[in-house]
Parts: sequence; C-alpha cells; structure tokens
Amino acid sequence: VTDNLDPSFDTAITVDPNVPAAESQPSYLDFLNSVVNTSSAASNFDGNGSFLRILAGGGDELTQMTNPAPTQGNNILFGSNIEPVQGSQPALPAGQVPPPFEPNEDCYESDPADLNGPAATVGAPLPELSP
Amino acid sequence: VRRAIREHAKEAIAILALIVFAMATTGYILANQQAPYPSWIPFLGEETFELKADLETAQAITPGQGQTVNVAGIKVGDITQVDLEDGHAVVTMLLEDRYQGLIKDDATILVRPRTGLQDMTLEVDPGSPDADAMEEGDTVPLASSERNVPPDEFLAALDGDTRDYLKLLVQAGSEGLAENGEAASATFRRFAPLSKYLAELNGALSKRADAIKRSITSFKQVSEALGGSDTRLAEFVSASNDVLSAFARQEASLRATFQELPSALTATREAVISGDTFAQELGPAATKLLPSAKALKPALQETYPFFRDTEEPIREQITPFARSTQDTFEELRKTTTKLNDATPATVSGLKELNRVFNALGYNPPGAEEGYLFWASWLGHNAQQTSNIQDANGALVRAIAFNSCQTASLALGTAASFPSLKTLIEATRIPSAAATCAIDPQFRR
Repeated sequence: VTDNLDPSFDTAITVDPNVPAAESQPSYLDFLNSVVNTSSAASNFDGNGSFLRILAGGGDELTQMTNPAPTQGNNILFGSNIEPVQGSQPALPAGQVPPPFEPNEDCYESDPADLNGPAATVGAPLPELSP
Repeated sequence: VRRAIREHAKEAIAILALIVFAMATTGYILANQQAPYPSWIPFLGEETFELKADLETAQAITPGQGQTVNVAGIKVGDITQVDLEDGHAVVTMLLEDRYQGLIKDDATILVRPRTGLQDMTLEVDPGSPDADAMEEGDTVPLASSERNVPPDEFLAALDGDTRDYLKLLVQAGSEGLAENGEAASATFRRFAPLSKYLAELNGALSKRADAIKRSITSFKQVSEALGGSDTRLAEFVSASNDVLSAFARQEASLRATFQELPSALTATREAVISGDTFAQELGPAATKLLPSAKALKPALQETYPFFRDTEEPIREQITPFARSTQDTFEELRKTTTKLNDATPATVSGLKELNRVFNALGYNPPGAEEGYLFWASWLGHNAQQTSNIQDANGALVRAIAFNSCQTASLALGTAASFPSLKTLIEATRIPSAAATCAIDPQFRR
C-alpha cells in the first residue's frame, strides 16, 4: 500500500487534454468527486424511487459501434452525438485484452502505475465509430 | 578413803599396770586380726565401702575368719557376710576406701583357696579401665563370678574306670619320671616359646572372636531393621521387579541405544576436542575481559544508590499500580482469548485482502499497465463524465445507442403513442431510416 497503491492514487493525471494541468488533482480525488457527482445525479426521485439524470440529448453526428453482445439483427448500434468522436483516452491496449491478473505477485515489488505514461496517450477513435 | 589408798598404794598401782598391760595386749591382738573395724573405733577403724557379689556357692566361705578380697594378690578388703537369696549365695565385702573406683561394672570374681585347708579368698579382676566404677552397695552379678572347683569334686565327676586309668597314669608317670625329672623339666621348659606363640595365637583368636561377635551383633541389628521394615522391603522387591521387567521390555530399545553408543561417543569426542579449542580461545579472551570486569565494579557500585532510590517507588507506586491493573489485565486476557479465536479468520481475511492488493497493484513490465492504472483512469473519466450540472444538480453525459431493429420497433410502437414519438424525437435517438440505411444487414 505504501510503496505502490498510495503513490499511484496520489498522482495527478495531467495528460488529459480536457483538463488543464493546473486544475488536475490526485486520482483518488477524481474518484471521490465522481462518487459525489454520481450521487448528485441520482438524488432526484419519484414514486418509483431515485433515478439517474442523464444528459442524453444527441446531435446530428451519427456514430456507430459493434454491439459487444450481438443478437440477431442487433450487430451494429447507432448513436447521435453532438460532435464527432475525437479519440479515446487511455487508448485501448493492443488486442483489447484485459491487464494480467496476478494476485500472488507481491505488489510492493511492482512499480507504481504510470498514470501519465505511454499508456495514457490519446488513441484514435475506433474505425467503426465513424459511419 | 585416802588412808586406804595410802595403805594399799602398791596394790592399786599393780592393778592399774595390769589393766594397762591387758588393754595394750588386747589392742595388739585386735590390730593383728584380719577383721574389719568400723571407722569410729580409734586406731583400729578405717573408712570402707560395701560391695556385694552373687556366687553360685559360698562353700568354705566363713565371714569373720579373716577371709580377704584380693586384687592381683593384694588385699583390698574383707568378707563380712554371707546370705542366701533366690538359691544362690550373696557375699558382702567391705573394701578399703582408697580402692573405691578400682572395681568396674565388668569386674569378675573367682573363689579360690588360699591354702590346702580351703581357706578361701575372693580374687577380683577389677574389669576394663573404660567401664564405669561400681558404686556403694552395687552387686557383681552371678554371671561374672566363678566358684572354686575342689579336686575331689573333679574326681567325683569321673566314673570308676576313668579314676582307675587316671591312677595308673599317675603311677606310670611317677615311675617314668623317677630318674628323668630333669629331662622332663628341660622338655617342659622348651614348651615356653610354644606357649608364647600359643598366647599370640589365642590373642589373635580372641580378636577374631570379638570381630565375629561384632559381626553377629551387626547382623542381628540388620535383621531386626529388616524385620521392622518388611513392608518396605517387600515394596522394594516389588519395585525392583517392576524396574527389571521394564528393563526387559526395553531390551530392543536398549540394544538400539547401545548400537548408537559408538557414534555418540565419537561425536562426544569431537565435541570435547572442539571444547578444548574453545577453552584455549576462552583463556586469552577471559584474560582480556578481566580489566573490563574490574572496571565494572565501580559502575555497579554507582548503581547501588539508584536501586536504593527506586526501591520505595517500586514498593509504594509500581506494586499498587500492578495490583490495581490485575483486574484490567484479567478482562484483557478474556478479550485476548476471544481475539485469539478470531485471529485465524482475521488472518485468512487479511490474506485475501493482500491478494486483492497484489492483483490491483501488479504492474506488468513494459508499456502495458495494470489494474491500478485503469482504476485511476476510471475515477478520472467518471469524474469528467459527470462534471456538468443544471439547477437540479449534476448530470451524467451519455449517448443512447440503438440498432436498426430497435429503432424500427420503437417507430412502430410510437405510432400508437404520440407522446412516445415526441420523446423519441426529443432525445434524437438515431431513427430507423437513418440506421437501417447504413446497417448492411438491413440495407436494400
């Protein structure tokens, strides 16, 4: 925790083009803020209970993606976006495989996560996102 | 009267002279009598003390006849009285006071004739110097006295044939020694060395007899001790039987042990050799430590005041504190017991948590990142996704995706519900016309 987790969570993500570096904050604060924001977005309720308020208003920009859980007649999904998708950050790893799962490797022997390293670069939008 | 005295002065003086002479003669006779006189009689009396002796027989013992009591042939007293008690004779002796303390408890008495006319004396062996001296009125027991055996009594004990043979022996001896008296005398003198050696032999036999007697006494004591401890002896024998039985049962183990003994001795020898090396190193090291040990003494002396000063706080403060915390520690012990029960589950949980941390913190080599990288970016992106708001609070930006088929179904459903059609149009979900024109599965 001291040598690996804590240094990683204390690191601020500064390579996000949407956030000025001066306004960046440690990643654990990003996580806590997301929790607060999500709680705020779910604070309204009606007779059925709370509901999540989503700004889903689309624009004129039609995008598409391959359905990760395809069924007959639903292989391609379409959405309306305000602006064209510019990219994804962090970029999906090659082959889109999940990270290795090593619960028996002592974490203190690993380096802290490099949140602003090569893996955090902005990747190109996936081809199928453009019709 | 005076005239009669003057007239018969010669006769009176003669009578007085005769009286004086008679008294002197009587005194002389009494003084030479071997009879004891009480100490209150002037000139004749002497201080004495009384002892008694039990004898088997007092034959020929006649008190008042000057029969004496001798020690080593020297007169030490007189026989004054003979009585009969319980079938044996009790002789009373008056001994001169200066010999008091000479006669011991283990003294023995022999009745022997002083002359051939059975003029008896009591020959006293005074006993060992280490024994206690006899007191006034003490009695020499019957077992310590022996009576005189006269020849006629000895001869009377022999039968007629034996007496005849004895008579022939005496006559033959008389004839044989008639002219060989000197030779016989010389022969008998040659027996002197033999007697000396026999005396030494008898002395050794006497010591041996004493040793045997002591051995018998010791054996008797041992027997008595064993007799009084027969129960313990039986227990001892029973316990010994159990021990020997146990040894018998352990025979295989003992054999294996003895088989290991040579290697153990070898190891012991090596250990001793190593110990010798250690001892050789220890000597110089100990010598070098001597100055430090000497220097330690003043330091220890300096600590004495500290220990004296801390004695009272320990007694007055720490000890009461320790007593007052006993209940607390007792409760803590109970808690610790419960914690001890929960420890295995806690350890197991911590192990699982450690696995979670390991999986989260693992950073693969190279440019690839692990779960910790993606978790941090998840928090960052989630925060960016919900960082807009309106008057009601935060909003989550999202894009609603649908397929050509879903859009067609929604369009069909909305035909019957105008409000739903309005909602679809408000959200600007891609329409069926737009999506189906692109989806190759439905494009015509």
